[in-house]
Amino acid sequence: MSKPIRKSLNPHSMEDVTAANSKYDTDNNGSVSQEEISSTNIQESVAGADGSYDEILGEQVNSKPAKKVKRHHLELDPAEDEFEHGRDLTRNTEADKIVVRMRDVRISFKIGSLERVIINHLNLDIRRGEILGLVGESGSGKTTIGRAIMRINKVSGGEILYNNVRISGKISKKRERLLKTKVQMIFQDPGDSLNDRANIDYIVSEGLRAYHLYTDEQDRINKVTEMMQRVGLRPEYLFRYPHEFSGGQRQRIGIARCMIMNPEFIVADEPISALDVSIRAQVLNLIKEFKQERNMTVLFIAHDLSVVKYISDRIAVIYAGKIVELAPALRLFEAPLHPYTKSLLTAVPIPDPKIERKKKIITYNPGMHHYVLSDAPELKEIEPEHFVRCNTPEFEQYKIELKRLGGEE
Amino acid sequence: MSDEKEVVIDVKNLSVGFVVRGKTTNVIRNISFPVYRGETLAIVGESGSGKSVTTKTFTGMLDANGFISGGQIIFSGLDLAKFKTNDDWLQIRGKRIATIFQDPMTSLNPLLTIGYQISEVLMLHHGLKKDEAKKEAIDLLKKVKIPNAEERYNDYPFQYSGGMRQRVVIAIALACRPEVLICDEPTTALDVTVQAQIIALIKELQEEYKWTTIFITHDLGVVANVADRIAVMYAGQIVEYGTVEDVFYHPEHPYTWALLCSLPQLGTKEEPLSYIVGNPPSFASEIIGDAFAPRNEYAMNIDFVMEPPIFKVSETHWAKTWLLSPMAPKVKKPKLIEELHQRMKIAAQELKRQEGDLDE
Repeated sequence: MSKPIRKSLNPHSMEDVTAANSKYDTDNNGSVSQEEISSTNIQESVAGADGSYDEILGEQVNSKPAKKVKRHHLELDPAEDEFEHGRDLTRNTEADKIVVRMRDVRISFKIGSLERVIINHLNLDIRRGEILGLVGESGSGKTTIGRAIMRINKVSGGEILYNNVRISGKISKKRERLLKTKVQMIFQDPGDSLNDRANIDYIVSEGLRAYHLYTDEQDRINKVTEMMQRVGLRPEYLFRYPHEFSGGQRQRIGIARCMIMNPEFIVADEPISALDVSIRAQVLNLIKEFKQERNMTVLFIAHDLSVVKYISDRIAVIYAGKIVELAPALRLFEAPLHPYTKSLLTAVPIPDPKIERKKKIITYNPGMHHYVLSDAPELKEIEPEHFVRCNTPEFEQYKIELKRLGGEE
Repeated sequence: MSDEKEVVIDVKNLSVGFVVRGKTTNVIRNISFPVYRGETLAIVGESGSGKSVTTKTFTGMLDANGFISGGQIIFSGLDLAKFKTNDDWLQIRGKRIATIFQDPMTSLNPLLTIGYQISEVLMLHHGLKKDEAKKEAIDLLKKVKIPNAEERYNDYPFQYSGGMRQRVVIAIALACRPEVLICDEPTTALDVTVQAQIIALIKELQEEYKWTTIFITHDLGVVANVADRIAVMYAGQIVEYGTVEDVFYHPEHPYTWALLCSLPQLGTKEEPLSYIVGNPPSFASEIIGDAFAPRNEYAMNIDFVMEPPIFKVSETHWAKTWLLSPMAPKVKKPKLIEELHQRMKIAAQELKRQEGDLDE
């Protein structure tokens, strides 16, 4: 902030101030005198402009707080307004109970001229406040779905709605910005997902900085420190680098970075697959605690059913890009119907030698269905809340099976 | 039972050190255990507990800054701890003791065909001609259940899926008919379904070839499936050693209790999972007393002062904890451990029923 520069810029700033004043004049039919508006409106006009003006008027007006206020009260168009106030808990219609709605979603990847469709005609609703477990083997598209909600993977057909607002395809920058303050992700590999060159303070507060979610530097530090303690890390770790931490600690940093944004919805992409057994429990507990405390919605992606059983409310089993079974977590374990679900269940290792040795592994053969075009399989509700992908004969067969299991509630 | 078994590898008072920035740290601290012929020994522990380092000493694959600082590894009359040159190791490594690593992508050469990588081993170790080796290699691929083995012989590693690659690595290990197969977390990078298949394959082949397996993992579910004996490692020491029944049904060391309690399979909706607080100790400073004491809710004063000796529980079972000392107060094991088998039964019941269903 050297004097000469300020002088050279001064005329420019004056111009702007007069411009703002004249605008003010017309708005109020010229009833306000120049003196009255002089201080307050300079402030506002500066706040509305780019940050570069802050420097110029830095000494005359303390523009910082005003700037923050401005940013928070951006005018919203009706769609965005809806989007913004999705959290309004007074309204509780059927549509409001669903956070993410995927309709006929199609995701494909292009390799040269070849197009490979990974997900086709996917319909999935994620309800407010639930943990939805998404289980499948690698290559089944479970991660792709999570990434599509995050707008990392493009959707080539259908749409994804978030709080009844479309978030797939082309959306306005403003909507995208808003979305990214509400939706966060926890990644599988805590080593790769953290920037090696940045210290923990920077990593955790990156989101806060990007969206100016703090009033001043002290507030930011308080928020970060509080979050560090919340995930069980000491505040003095803030100035260390990711390589100084163990895998479990890194994953907790990943969770802190995610939770500090106070998200409404989280995509947890195999957050414990890369961790040791003794640490898995800690991370699972942490996610569950946060979920209960803040009433978030979580999409929990995993390949191991035993993990998902503990944490989720509903489980969706996915095979080759198609949901084959969707049921409340306990119900899925009680009465699995689709052969793929059954094969997944037998694969879960049970830490008990006597039981584990007797187990037989069932391998799923997708060719066993004998589907025909005239009776294409689809996701059908076989009992309340319990959906299975099947065709008509299979539907009948599953019904009988369910009866034998003592199912129908 | 243990008297009749022949010992393949006998580890006696083994210590391993690493030189880091001019300082020597002891990573394996005076461990002794036998490996019995034809059995599967599982080594369980957190990352950094020294599981992999222990087995790396069997094939001379320690990193350049690591060295055996004491003890013996007796394998068919030879002391492997005394081996120095690469020529010494060539007779053992790969040929009599083979290793399967965690990540099959890094253990295969991406520039060579799968077929070549298998037949190479056969030509080198068995002196087979090229076409003989090819025939043998295809047989091996069939053994590990690769479909269309003849066609896939000329494929490259990237054309195989993770599970398939691990099968290929097993085939390469098989090529030499090793006496001991070390599986270093072979299924950690794989899906549960694929994991179950690979484990079944290893077990099946072990029955056929009668080798001895040393299975390194942190997944107790896998251990329950494959192991005959278990060695639980913590901070470079074996804290509990016994048959699979001993360790799962009558665990004595608090660390084993904690490990078993933290299994997600035990979780119920109502209560949070229990877990081990804190972190494993760092090797940078000397460990005094029981290494697990700071994280152990059953720790006594003596645990912080003196290292516990080995207490025998039965002929096949021992643990390194002061709790087993006759002078120690009687502690009640965690409720979960007492209920472990019951809980597992409940967890398995649903699965069991499904298996029954499919039989019909």
